[in-house]
Amino acid sequence: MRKRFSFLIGLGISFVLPLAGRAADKVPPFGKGSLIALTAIPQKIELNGVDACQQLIVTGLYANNGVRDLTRSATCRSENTAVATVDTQARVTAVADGATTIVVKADGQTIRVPVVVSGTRGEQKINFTNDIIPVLTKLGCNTGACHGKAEGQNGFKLSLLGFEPQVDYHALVRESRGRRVIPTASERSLLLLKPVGAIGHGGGKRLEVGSPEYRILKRWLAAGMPFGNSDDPKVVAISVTPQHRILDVKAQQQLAVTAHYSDGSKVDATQMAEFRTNDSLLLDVDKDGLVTTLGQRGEGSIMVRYQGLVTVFRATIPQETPALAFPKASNLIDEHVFAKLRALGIPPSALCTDGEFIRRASLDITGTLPTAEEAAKFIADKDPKKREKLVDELLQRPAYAAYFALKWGDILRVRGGTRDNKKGNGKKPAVDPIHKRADEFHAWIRKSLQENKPYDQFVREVLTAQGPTSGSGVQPQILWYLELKTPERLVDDTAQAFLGTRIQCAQCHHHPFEKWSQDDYWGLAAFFARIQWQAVGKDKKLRPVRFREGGRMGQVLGYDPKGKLEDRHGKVYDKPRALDGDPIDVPENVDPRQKLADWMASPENPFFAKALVNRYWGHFFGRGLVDPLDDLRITNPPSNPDLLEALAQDFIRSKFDLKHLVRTICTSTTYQLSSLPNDHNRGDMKHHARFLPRRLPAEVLLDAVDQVTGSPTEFTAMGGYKFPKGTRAIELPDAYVSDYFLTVFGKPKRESACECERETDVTLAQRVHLLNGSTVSRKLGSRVARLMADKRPEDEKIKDIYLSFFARYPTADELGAIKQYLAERSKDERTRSAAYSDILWALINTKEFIFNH
Amino acid sequence: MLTFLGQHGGKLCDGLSRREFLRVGGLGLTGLTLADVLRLKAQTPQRQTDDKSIIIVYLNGGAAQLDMFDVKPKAPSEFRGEFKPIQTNVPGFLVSEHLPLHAKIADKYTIVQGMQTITSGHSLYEASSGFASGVVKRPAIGSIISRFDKRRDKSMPASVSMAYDAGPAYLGPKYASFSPNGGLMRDLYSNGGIPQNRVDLLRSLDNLRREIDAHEQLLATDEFTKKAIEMLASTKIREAFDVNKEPEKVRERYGKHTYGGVTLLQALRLAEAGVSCVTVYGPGNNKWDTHKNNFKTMKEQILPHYDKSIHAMITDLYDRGLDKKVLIAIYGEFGRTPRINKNAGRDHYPQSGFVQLAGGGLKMGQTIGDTGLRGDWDISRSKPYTIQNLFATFYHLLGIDPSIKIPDNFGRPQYILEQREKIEELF
Repeated sequence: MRKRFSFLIGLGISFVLPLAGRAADKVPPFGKGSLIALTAIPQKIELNGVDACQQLIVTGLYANNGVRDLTRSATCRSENTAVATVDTQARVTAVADGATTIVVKADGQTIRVPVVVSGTRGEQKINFTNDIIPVLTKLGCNTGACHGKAEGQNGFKLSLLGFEPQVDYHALVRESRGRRVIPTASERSLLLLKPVGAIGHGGGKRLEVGSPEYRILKRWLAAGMPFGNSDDPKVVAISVTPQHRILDVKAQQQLAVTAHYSDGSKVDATQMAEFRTNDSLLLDVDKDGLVTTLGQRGEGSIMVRYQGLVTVFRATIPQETPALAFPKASNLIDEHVFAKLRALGIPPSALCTDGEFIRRASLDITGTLPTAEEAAKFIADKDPKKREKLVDELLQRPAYAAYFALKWGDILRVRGGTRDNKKGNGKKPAVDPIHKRADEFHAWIRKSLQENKPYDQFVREVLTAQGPTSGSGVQPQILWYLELKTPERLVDDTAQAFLGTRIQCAQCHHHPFEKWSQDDYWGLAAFFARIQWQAVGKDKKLRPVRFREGGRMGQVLGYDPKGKLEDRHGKVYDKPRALDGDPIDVPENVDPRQKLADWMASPENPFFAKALVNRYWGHFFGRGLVDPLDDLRITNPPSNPDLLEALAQDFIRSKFDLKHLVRTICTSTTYQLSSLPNDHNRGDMKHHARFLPRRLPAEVLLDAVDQVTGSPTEFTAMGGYKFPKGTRAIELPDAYVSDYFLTVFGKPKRESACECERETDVTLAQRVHLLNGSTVSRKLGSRVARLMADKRPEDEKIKDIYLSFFARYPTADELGAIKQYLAERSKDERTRSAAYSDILWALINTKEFIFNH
Repeated sequence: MLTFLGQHGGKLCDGLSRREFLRVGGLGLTGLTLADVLRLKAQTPQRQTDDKSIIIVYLNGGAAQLDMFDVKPKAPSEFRGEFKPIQTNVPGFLVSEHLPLHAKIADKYTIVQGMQTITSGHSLYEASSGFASGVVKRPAIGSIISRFDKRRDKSMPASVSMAYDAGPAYLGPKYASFSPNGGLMRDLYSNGGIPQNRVDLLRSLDNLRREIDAHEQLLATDEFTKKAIEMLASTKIREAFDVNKEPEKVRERYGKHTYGGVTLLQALRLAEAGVSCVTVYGPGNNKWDTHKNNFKTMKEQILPHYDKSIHAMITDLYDRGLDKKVLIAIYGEFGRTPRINKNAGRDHYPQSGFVQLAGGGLKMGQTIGDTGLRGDWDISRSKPYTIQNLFATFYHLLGIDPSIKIPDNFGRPQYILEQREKIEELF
């Protein structure tokens, strides 16, 4: 043990911890027992320049092989405070050139950290981008609420979060006749007077006189506001120490941030970096980078941002549970989920019952409740493989394709339009109504899913759609282009729908929580640069239409081999560039969109497969491994990175086989866990220790009500058209449907590619509608009539009802309660029928019915 | 949640994620989350609070400011128009001769002149959301108010809309304004409530294992079931709409027009009952768009009705002692051109319009802003007020911080308002 530890110290960077997911069955330890060894990072400190500082991270190794942060509790002392000082948070600050030692003591152990200070004499080099911008960012000057907003604040405008240093330099030094900066009397510069509150400042006091931030601003002013040289080193990466820790439920952890420069140098940036918690119930972090656990258990992360670069610190806060009993792992999903649960000390729930499984799988795969007969047969089936077989069978049903076409209709914005019942008077309209396109696109999606078209092929066909939007020879996928129209909106949706990335921010400014810049955005958009909307002119020839008029019905989506894009600053983008890729030269006879599809489907693409498996995970578990499920980014890490990676690789290996993915998910033990918690997993909402109940989506719930009452809804389109009888809610092609039930339960209008547009919460208006609205009250009659006509014993009929509503048999108590209710209230035919009606009404309003559990 | 802000952003620059919103809660009737319900439960009924309310009255079509409040007696006749100004009970405050009742109560309202809009076509989207239409659809003010509902008593909806409404947009449907023609109203009052035997039966059968219930959505379902049953047994909302509860004399004062008569009285009753934001159409519905025969239409059809009904509403506001609690704001989608066109009409003029305000505990009896001798002096202020400034004023009264960011459906944080300065002269 001792030996391994000294080896770790030898690495000198950070402890290699028994990482979540790879640990043995016992709970990974944090520091307990007696202190075995003490370490500080870095092992030696070099400080260069006035006010240079370095955050020390002091860590103790304990008898149980666990580690604990001691940065704040250790006592640190500088042997020569004329050279460098150290404060209570173990931050070492340069005073004057020379050498000293920081003596660190904790629990009777001592270590010594040598310090060398240089460069404090003579002229201090200050670079505006490297040294001043971070101050403005840290103080919040350039945020979107203050001077960073598009029109600035009270006449003073900075670029958002300092992404355009040149612009900011000009604003500070040159604008307003230079009155913001007075090098000869730096204290009287507005740049200092305003933020310290010496004169009126709408943003209030942001800066202390004499603070390090104040001092560097003052030095920069006194030095005559240098911008710096173009060959000065630039920050190219940041790192955080440590990157991951297993923490106690009541613990603190100091973080240190290092900025890596283009010349290979490294500088501590802890003081200037910004810290944010991604999990505010689990972790808190202060401006100095001190993380505090808040008493909850689980996994969380802290985002660190410095100079447009981001990284995260991850914390695992396990619970201590005695022996963990795990069910059998069925496939790769279970291996990774269970490994994570072991690391967190969370035992999973038991397997769900057969009735729960058939109801759950039928609802999730086909959007349809199992019938009473199906449920009874499945429960009685003795085949040990019956669950796998059921999943296979459900995937073959037309309802599978219908239900997932609903999902993809949301993502691909199959919005449609109004439709009426008029047959017309023989005159054909000049162009097709848009709902015709919606019907065709919807049918195309549905057929693609039914045939199990490989997902990369499916996306390629959407991305490369072209040709007329009306008349003959229309490609169904053209609707996607009709909805989105411009390269900017196309790239937004491409990124969000297929790459799980929200890149919209970077259209106008560097993405605040990601590395994406405007060049990344426009490079991706340039794949769409050669699309051109064309219309038939007076001379009967196709001509390009003006920019704002593109994407109308009747136009043709054509190709302009010379097409290019311009951003709002007039910068031209003619070469497409994939995210993290190099610019591509695309010959004029090749549509760049084909190249985009190639890049997406390449096995190395880090986004495409992950985005899809994460989306499908969200469908079956109610939340993505990355949540929100179309927001994959470094600063929003997955709850189980190994699982996301493994599932994505499996999806790629299967050649993007969607049914294979559904099968893998639904036959996993994880998916088959009960929603009933045990003593130790009650609080888990993130790691799938049990199945989390979800309200049925609007269409599924309405279909379920229709099915159990035997009373199908007839749907009306906005405009008055009646959809054919027997059309189910999950089969509706577009969003132009007038049905209050669907509206109140959250059917989206398909105005964005985000699945978050669908309301999934429970609201009061929904409860009022289900309890007292006309939808349910109108439907009860037909099942009541069947019950009245059914001459079987009451027990049989009630069992039938329970199977059809809940895919289970009633308990003795339930059976008794219902029979008693019927007996008490059945004075005659009328009251008997009313009593049946009451029972159906009550069961529709139970949570067991409304939820998938 | 990540924000754009520095560590010390504090309240000024605070942001919340969609998910956090759910936890934090604080919403209108239909959007009540579990947290709200639990909080409500924890509170015993309390005294009526000093919760304020906003009533927005749309002048649908755009009103000709020069012929009402922005009178220009010294302008050339092609601007001045046919009407003469008259003195009011506030020295120096002039109104059109066709607003004689208004002249008697000028101390009870304030006019903001030179209101600028982006919209120049007939759409109330900006009037309802504060923003010009664009790729990102913005929520209506009523939805924002529902989202940040701070009232203690939430038995009435936070927002009621009886007029155009931009909708809840990215806030989600649960923050939609309550509509008297909407499904919730129908569900509450059309099917006769739930008999006790059904309530009991549901209670006995709704027994998904308790342990599973320890999940926010399931708990919410139970709470909403209880709350729904309570609401179904109450007639409070319906009664607030019912102007027949008012004495005939009062209804007579407002006038019997549906728009700009009954709607105004309903709006005041709703605000009095505790609704935070009521949106209605005002007098002269659909007639304001006076490209032709402006003076004849104004004199004969619109202004007499306007004068009577709005006068009634403002005096009623004071009579009921609501002038410190309820702010009435009357405006259209834009102003109308100061220069009279060849059809004796006035055209659309987004550069300058007006808002009439009454109550809210604000400074009344003033005209704010100067549009110059002819009313076309649109550079009179270095920064004219906009609908957003008006909304900032509303949010100030309601205690809503307009610099809060809400993620839209692209995940991009959007400020409640971009222009967050309130109309200072009112305070």
